Amino acid sequence: MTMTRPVALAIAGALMATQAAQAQDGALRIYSAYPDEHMQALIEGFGKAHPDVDVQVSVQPGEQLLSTLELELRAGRPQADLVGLNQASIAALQQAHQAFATYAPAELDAVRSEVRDPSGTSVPACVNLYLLQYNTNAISEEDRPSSWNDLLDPRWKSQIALADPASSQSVHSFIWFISEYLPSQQDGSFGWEYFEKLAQNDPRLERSHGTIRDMTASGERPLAVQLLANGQTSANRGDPTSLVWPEEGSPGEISSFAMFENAANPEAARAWLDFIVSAEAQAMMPAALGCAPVRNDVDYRFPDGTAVGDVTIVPVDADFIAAERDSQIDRFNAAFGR
Amino acid sequence: MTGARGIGAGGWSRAVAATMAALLAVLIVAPVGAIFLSSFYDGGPSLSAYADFLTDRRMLAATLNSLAVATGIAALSVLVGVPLAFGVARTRMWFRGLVSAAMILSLISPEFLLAMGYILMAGPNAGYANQALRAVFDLSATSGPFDIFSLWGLIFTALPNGVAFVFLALVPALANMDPALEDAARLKGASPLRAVIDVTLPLMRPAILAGALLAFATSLAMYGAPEMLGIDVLTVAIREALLGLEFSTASVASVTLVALSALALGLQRALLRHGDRYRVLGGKAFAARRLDLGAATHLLSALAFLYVMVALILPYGTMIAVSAMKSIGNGFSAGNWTLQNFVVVLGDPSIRQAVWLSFWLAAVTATVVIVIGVLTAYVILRTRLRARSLLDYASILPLAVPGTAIGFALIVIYLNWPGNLTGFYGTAMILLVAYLARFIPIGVRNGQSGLLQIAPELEEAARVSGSTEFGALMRITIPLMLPMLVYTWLLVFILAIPELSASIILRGFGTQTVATSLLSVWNGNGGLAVACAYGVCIFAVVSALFLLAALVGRRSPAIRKSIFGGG
Repeated sequence: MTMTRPVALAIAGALMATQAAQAQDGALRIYSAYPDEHMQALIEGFGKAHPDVDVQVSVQPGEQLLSTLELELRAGRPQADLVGLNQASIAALQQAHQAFATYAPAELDAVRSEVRDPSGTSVPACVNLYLLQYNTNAISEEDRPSSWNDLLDPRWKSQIALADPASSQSVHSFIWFISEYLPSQQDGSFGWEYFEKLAQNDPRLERSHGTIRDMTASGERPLAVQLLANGQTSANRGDPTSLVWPEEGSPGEISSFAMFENAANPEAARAWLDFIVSAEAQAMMPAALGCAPVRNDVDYRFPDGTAVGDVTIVPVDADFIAAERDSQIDRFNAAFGR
Repeated sequence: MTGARGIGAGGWSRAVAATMAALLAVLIVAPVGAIFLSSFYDGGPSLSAYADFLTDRRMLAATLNSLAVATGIAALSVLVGVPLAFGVARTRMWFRGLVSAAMILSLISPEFLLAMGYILMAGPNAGYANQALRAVFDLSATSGPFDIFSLWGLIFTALPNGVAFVFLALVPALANMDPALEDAARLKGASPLRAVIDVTLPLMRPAILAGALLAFATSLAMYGAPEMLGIDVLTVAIREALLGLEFSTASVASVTLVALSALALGLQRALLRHGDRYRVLGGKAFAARRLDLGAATHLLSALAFLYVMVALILPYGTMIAVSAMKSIGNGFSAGNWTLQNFVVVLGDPSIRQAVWLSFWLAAVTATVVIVIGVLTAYVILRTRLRARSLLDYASILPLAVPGTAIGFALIVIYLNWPGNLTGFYGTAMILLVAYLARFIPIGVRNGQSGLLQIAPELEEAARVSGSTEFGALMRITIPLMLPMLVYTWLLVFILAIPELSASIILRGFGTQTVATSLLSVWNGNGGLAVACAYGVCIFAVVSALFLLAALVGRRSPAIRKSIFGGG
């Protein structure tokens, strides 16, 4: 029973820490690219430990949120304490404005090292993967495509939806994967020629992945390049859709949070970042943000039952995406002849 | 005593005129000026933004798309609106009440609701109308026949709004026409149909053109429908340019848009002003007869039925159906029905906040617009101050400035000195500034038509009896104008609640409005079914408010000449 004392001390310490955390109050304002329905579960979980903090969320699609923030930073007054965007977008804003504070949450050590932000500004929340989603009423399991390359088959003409990089921040991960990563793996069938060929199939370029999810579910565009988070929502909702893990692998972007240097409520903002990497919040990620946890000690299976280990996940190059955003949009537009 | 309409030298009216001039300068002249100035500025005076615009393929395409869509809507609006107006005003065709109701509803109901309905019906692969037609005609194709995501689709989506402008410009003109003109043609042996085509329609030319130009101008300004359909028109291009922080592109696109709208609205006003030689209304009291057109009446009834179905019942019916679906993918199947989407809409804190903000903005806007409207109208009509014609022009200027362009202008003003000192950027205040600019024309014009009906002698009598100018306005004029004021308040309130085009450009933290939050729900932050439930709620509230306004409106004959009359 020699262990009793340290354990008791640890519990007491944890309780005190909880009480210190409970001292946080006031409003916590979060600009989020993650939909309200995804944020809700996290807010409820956070609220249990921090009942006095009034968490307010303002949701905009990622690329629109980026320009909203850009303008607010130019006006010198960002309207929020925290921002929820992917790592590449936070890095881009930080390059331009140095607006974010660095912060290392208490349990950051438990987070897988390859997803951590070396600069310390963005705190990883989960990994969101690109995969194929298809409508099971319109496409049978035998007919479904099994690779990114299959999307070039003419039989998918006018059936595919894809996010427009001019208005979606996330799709830049997919474009990087096809235009940069796969060719670097000596895979000659990819690169920008892939998008030129894809353009022949007349995919519908939509502004957000949520719209694409509904188009796939309704059958209007029965096949889509989609994010895991939306596949998860479809599964929760009972949509007639299913997922495909493409043979070439899946680019994984890191959904993150970061706090502004001059946040009005820095205590609450830090508490939120601590919470995000806690085992409790990480266990919620699949149901909340709809993506894979970033801690190895949290068990996870994809909505179709696939184990994380069975999927080839390629972490995206956030620095490349942040630096090359505009020229990637130009190259994409050129490939699509617009 | 000064003359009949010339109280003007009083210190009070000078002070009012100066205050109104200052307000209009800040709210209207400054934004319009900002649009023009920023297009000629690139580190110094420069035309480089115009040069870039002219060589930018996407911008030129957007300009052509805007023109094609606006022209298409104007032309088709005449084609559909004229027979329907004639049918309602002058024949015994069926569904006359329904057609009138559909016209009013398409004017007050936000354009993006109709777009939602049509996307669900006419999406090329899964649209319900397409599926039904393919099933009925046993087509083997998996797509079409309709494709809403096209230029024609956009024209179709905005058509009910354009038709309503033509219809509402034409019905009063037709109803007030002297039947003797047609009788003369009949006496010479013309059939009723021939008399209509040779006599009536040519007489209606100014009204038809005025309605068509109004349809043209509002089509240029629309944002929600092209954004949802993914069609690059100028308003969408302005927003895209701003998202890419390309301010000079946005400014030239705004100037182009404003110039085209101003041209159309200027023509429209000129037509109405020089309508004298088409005057068909003499001093005699009469009512135009309803004509018996024989078989043609049935054709008109069929057109009316088709119109009501396509413009009202089918799109909103589809929206109501989808609002009750669990998964949109399982369609009209048993077990796919739920009220959960309405529970989500009514329980969502973000939606609740957006609804409160929109109601607050609409109420404050309507109130301020009425005060500015009455006082400006008073200066214009009841004083001889030289500045009054300037006030008149400034107050109608925003009619030619689409909301997207106003949103852009306010970003320019409130991000830079001295506007940035106000701290308005990113807050609800900047939305209020935008709404005031957009709706002041309604206040001033309705204020003028209300004031014109009140003989100035009544105010003069009060002045003779010792009342001050302000006292006469408050005790005599305002009470007499009350029905018009209440009606105008409700009208601005109704039109402001779903404001989208400026709001979406200016939104910041906690400043989502009803329209921007609905669009965001539609675009995935909730999904199509929830968006439909939200849309059904908005439609119900806006319609109920309009019924209220219509009840108030019955008490004032001037109201019929207000905004819906154009001109």
